[in-house]
This record gives sequence, structure tokens and C-alpha cells, in this order.
Amino acid sequence: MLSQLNSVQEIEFLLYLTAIILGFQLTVYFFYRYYKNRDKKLPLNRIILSYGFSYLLLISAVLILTINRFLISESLLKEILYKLGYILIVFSSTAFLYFIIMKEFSRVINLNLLKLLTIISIIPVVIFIIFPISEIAIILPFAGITIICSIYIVIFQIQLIKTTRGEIKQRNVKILFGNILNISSLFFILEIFTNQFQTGLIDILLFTGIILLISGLLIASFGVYGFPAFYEFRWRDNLLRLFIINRINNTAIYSYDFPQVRDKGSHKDYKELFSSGITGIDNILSDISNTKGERIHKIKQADFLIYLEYGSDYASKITYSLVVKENLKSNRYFLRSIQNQFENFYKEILTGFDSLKGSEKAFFSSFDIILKEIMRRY
Amino acid sequence: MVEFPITGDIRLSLLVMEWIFVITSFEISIIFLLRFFKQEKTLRNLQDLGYFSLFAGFALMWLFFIIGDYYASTITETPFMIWDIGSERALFLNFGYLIMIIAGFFLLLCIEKYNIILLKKYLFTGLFLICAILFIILFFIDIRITQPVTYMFWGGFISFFLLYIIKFIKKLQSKGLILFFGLAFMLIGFLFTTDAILSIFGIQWRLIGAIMQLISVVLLSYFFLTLPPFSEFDWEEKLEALFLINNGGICLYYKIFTERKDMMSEHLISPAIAAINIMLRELSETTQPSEGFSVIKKKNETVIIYQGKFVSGVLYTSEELNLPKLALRDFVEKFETLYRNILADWKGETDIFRPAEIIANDFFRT
Repeated sequence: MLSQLNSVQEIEFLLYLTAIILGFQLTVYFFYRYYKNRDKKLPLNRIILSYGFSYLLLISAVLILTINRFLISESLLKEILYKLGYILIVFSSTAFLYFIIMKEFSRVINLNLLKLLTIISIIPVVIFIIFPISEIAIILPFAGITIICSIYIVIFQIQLIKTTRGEIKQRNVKILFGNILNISSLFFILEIFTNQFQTGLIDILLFTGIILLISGLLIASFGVYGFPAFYEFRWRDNLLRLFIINRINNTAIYSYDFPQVRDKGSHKDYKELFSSGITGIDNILSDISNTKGERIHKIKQADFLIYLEYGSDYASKITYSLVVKENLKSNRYFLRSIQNQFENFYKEILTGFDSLKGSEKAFFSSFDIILKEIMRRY
Repeated sequence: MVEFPITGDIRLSLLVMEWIFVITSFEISIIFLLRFFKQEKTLRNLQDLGYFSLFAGFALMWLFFIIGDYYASTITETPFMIWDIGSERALFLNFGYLIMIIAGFFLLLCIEKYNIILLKKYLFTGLFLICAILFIILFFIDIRITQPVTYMFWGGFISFFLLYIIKFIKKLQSKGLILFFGLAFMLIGFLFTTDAILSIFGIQWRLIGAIMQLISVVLLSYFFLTLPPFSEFDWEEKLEALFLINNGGICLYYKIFTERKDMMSEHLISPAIAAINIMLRELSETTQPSEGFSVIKKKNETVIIYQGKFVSGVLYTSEELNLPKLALRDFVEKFETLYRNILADWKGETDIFRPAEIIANDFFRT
């Protein structure tokens, strides 16, 4: 059942093995990144899951087709493994399309078209099951559906890059280049394409394909390494004001107006009023419902919403408050990032908070620099 | 007796296993290379480059072993290229040994540049250099007799790390075990792949040897990735004093790490350092204070000055090391960010800088 390989085939096999090792490592890393950001419940993080499943299926297909090409000689088993490999490649694009069917992505892509393509993308599977792989004339046109789906995935990625900013954008560009190389490599290594060429040319195509595949996987790895949490597209436009409040004397030790409200101006005592108001609401509600230990985490008004987070340990006197236009999970997570950064950076100052004696604002105004850095990252 | 090139049922599984070993070693070497280039140019420590050399050396050595044992002829030819006698396999194996010896030499050079492991600096590097020269001489005389030199190499390599474990046992703690097992797996694994052992136990032991070496590479890479630079293991103990001086020459904060009899008062040190800064600027013909490091070295003492936008940090150490430099820069930058608005309108009260003590303790791990 097992074939004996000549030296050239053995080297080809080892190169495939290299790509497979890299591919599975990349897949594991995609899942790890998704798992790391999972508890933040940010919907757009599903794109990492899409890449993970897509690569898992693609690399599994490459593994099966490699074993089949180099090691299997029994014809029935060979046919079954070919079918299985090609079906996995089809499912690789289907999985990606399926996972990005989300309301949030309607800003970058037509969801109806996406749903239609996801359904159509399964058609080649039926063809692969029914017809033998040797029936190239029937199979190739249907394989075209998978090619169209792959092109659509690339278009989606380009649109995504246009919509995003900062580090997310840079990383998406790398993943896009990696994907383009990986998709291109399939034309050089899949036998339904390469078998149309002369025997001497096939080895050259195979080596070219495998170099493209390895390069694509490496570039995609650089893209996914340290991929930050993916905020919703509107998170930036949704921000209005940030207040960091000293709960003891109800004063804002730091405040920031985001561009949406910067030019609008506000009442001159607005910051003091806001700080006292938030603490007051918290106290009144606690008294009414007799829930002193419980804290308010969200206040919704007609045209705005306030997220609240509370410091602990050495920052237990601090309340973090973010005013936004509408309810977005990304903004809640953004406020938590602010809290983490603030408490980490001012740890030493917050430890001796009581001794600051009126110089709080002078100290904490430097948080502008850190806030801009957090904004740049996402 | 094992026959080469390796044939039979075990050939493919052995080849796959050894190839995975090559790829893994190569990937790990790339991680170290990237880590080296990620370091700030002026503060780069050669240690990561040494690890890169070690793992890339392993990968290349095994690549040549694979070529030699699977694809090269063992037929002895007379003459063979520039030698009186030799074979393709012997040539490729020698390339592998030579690369590993050079890689090991480079690793030790990178470690001993900063640290004395036994008796004097560069002792092991010197021994490895002799080993490499001896190997090259034997290589040109007869490529069949070089293998004993590799045993010397492995002996030296293992001894070096055993001495290292003994020296740093307290600091290494449980990590010392990882290093120990990593080295043990490497040594035993390599032994199982030598012709002498294979001819006694059979070719299947080579598969076990390759697996053991793969485990060893993973263990050693984990150990090296989580280890601070060898030279800077005890950098905190080499700190002597820290001063923070504003552009007007006033000491805003100071901390003495070790009591030094000859250290003058901070009120005198501050203007002295400010004067040195001005002189250095004059010497480098820059009129404006430019951000960055200046290092002044004396016997048994180094003064590191980091000039920030508003303040200068001055650190006295007993040796010039990179980690204190990084700590000083981070400390000055955090201080400046924190006190940016206060420094702009400072009226002379020093109480406000009291939190700097906690920041200093944090950055300088005291």
C-alpha cells in the first residue's frame, strides 16, 4: 500500500512536511489568540476564529493530499483521500465565510451576498463526492466556485483593512498577504491543476508552490503574532468623555473630551457636577435599595450612556467613567484597558494617594500620553 | 553493523522525525534572532545572538547529517576530492561537526564576553577555539579521523553548562532542573545517533535519539527564553547609587544602594554631574541637551548618565551592564511623564518627589 519514494520525491515530501508543521503551528496560534480575547466578548474577534478554522481545514487537506501523493499506491484509497483532501479545501473557504456572517461585518461587506456564497461554496463538495477525481472536465468548473469564494475572502480582507486603523490594520495587511500567497500556492500544488502540465514541469510547479505556501504561512504568522482585541468598527466615533473620579471628595482627577464633543463646549463646572452627580446617584440608589456593596456599572440616558468601573486595592477610591453615545461591548473593554493602564502607571502615586494634597490634577494630566497610545493600538 | 544510506522500513519515519527536529531547531533559532533585533540597537546584548547560533547550528548540523546518512554515498574513494581517501558521507558529517563546533564557540564567546564561568574570562571560548582549530587541521589531513574532536566538544559543552548550573544554582532554582534535563536529553540523544552506539544496539535507537534531542531542544529553548542575560543575572547587586537631577543642576531625588565611603553629598554631586553633562555637550559640539546615554568608565566603577527632556538620571554601578541602563532610561521616562506638569512649574518643594522612591524600588528591584 505504501509507495517507495525516490530522492526528489523525498525532498518534496520533506518540504511539504515543513509547510504542514508551520501551518498547524499557525492554526494553534490563531485559536490561542481567540481564546485569549474570548472573555472580552468582542464580536469582531470571531475573525480570528474564522482564520483558525480555515487554516485548520486547509492544512489538514494539504496533509492528506501529501500523504496520498507520496505514500499511497492503492487506487481506491488514493481516490478516497483525494476526495477528502479537496472537500477539506472547499470547506476551508466555507468555514471562513460562515464565521464572518455577522451583523457587525455589514459595514464592510454585503451580508446577503456573503450568505449566498456560503451556501454555493458547498456545491463542489457534492461534485467531489459524486464524480471521480479523474473527471477533470466536470470537476474544474465547479472548483471555480471555490476560487470565486477565495477571491471574495480577499476582497473582504481588503475592505476590512480600509475600515480599520492602527495595529489591527497593519496586522490584517500581513494576514492578507499571507492568504494571497497561500491561495496562489494551491494552483501550483493541487494535482487537479498541475496534472494538466508535462511531467518535467510538475516538479518545478511543486517547488514553486511549496515556497509560496511556506512564505504565506510565515507572513500570516507575523500578522497574527500579538493580534490585539478587535474592537467594533464604531467604537472610536462612539466615545464622548472620560472621567476618572476621586470618590472621597467627588472630584475628577482626570478628564478627557474625545473629538466628538471637544468643540461643542460644556458648562464650566461640568466636570465637578458630573463627578459629584455620579457618586451621588450611586449613594442614593444604594440607600434606596439597601445594596451598599453593589455598584452601578451602566447608566443609560436618552442620547448617551455612562459606563462605570471601580478601582480596587490601592486604587479603591477611584471610579472610572466613560460617556458614550450607544451601547458597544468594545467601549466597556476600552474603559477596562484605561483602568488597567491608569492603575499600572500611577501605582506608586495611588499607593500614597492621600498625601498628594491638591496636586492630583498636575500628576494625572500626563495620562493624556498613555490614553493616546491606547487609542493608537486599537 | 548499520548500513548507510539508511534504507528499509525505518528510513521514512526516521527521516520525518529528524526533519521535524531540524525545523523545530531552526524555528527556535529564528525566535532568538528576532529577539536580538528587537532589542534597542545601543543596548543590544549578544546573548540572544549566541542562542540563535546554538539552535541554528543544531539545525544545520542535522541537515548535513540527514544529507550524509540518507543521500550520500559511503563508498570510500581514493583519492577523494582534496584528500587521499574519503567518502561523500564522511564529508557531509564533517560539515555538520564543524558547523556545530563553530556555533558552540560563538555561543560561549557571547556568554563569556559578559561573565567569568571558571578561573578567567574566555577560558571556555579559548578551549573551543583550540577544538575548532584542531578539527580544521584534522579535517584537511583526513576527514575520517575528526570524530574524536567532536567528543571533546560535547564534553566541554556539557562541562560549561554544569559549571554554570553550579555557579547560579541559587538564582536558577527549579529552572536549573530544566537546563539539567535538557542537557542530559541532548547528550544521551546524541549518543544514540552515533555510529558506535547504532552498530551495537541497531538503527531503531536513532529514532529514540532523535526524539530525545527534539525534547531537549524544546526544554533548552524554554530555559533560554525565560532566562535574563547571563551577565546581568545579579545586576541589582552591582548598583551603587542613583541620582535624578533637573536641567538646572538641582538634585530632585537620590538613592544609595550600597554604602560607599567616598560618595560625596548629593548637593555636591548634582552640580558636578550637571557640569559633566555640559562639558560632554561641549565636547560633542551640541548646544542643546540631547536625549540618550553617556557612559563614563573608571576602574571598578561606571557612571551611566541618561539625559531625558527635563531631567538627567545618573547611575553608579560597579560594571557597565545593559539592564541597569534600561532600568535607568525607563525610570527617567516614567518620572518625566509622571511629573511633566509639576516640573514645568516646580517651586522647589521636594516632598512631591517622594513617590519616586517606590518607582525606583520597582525599576531597580530593591
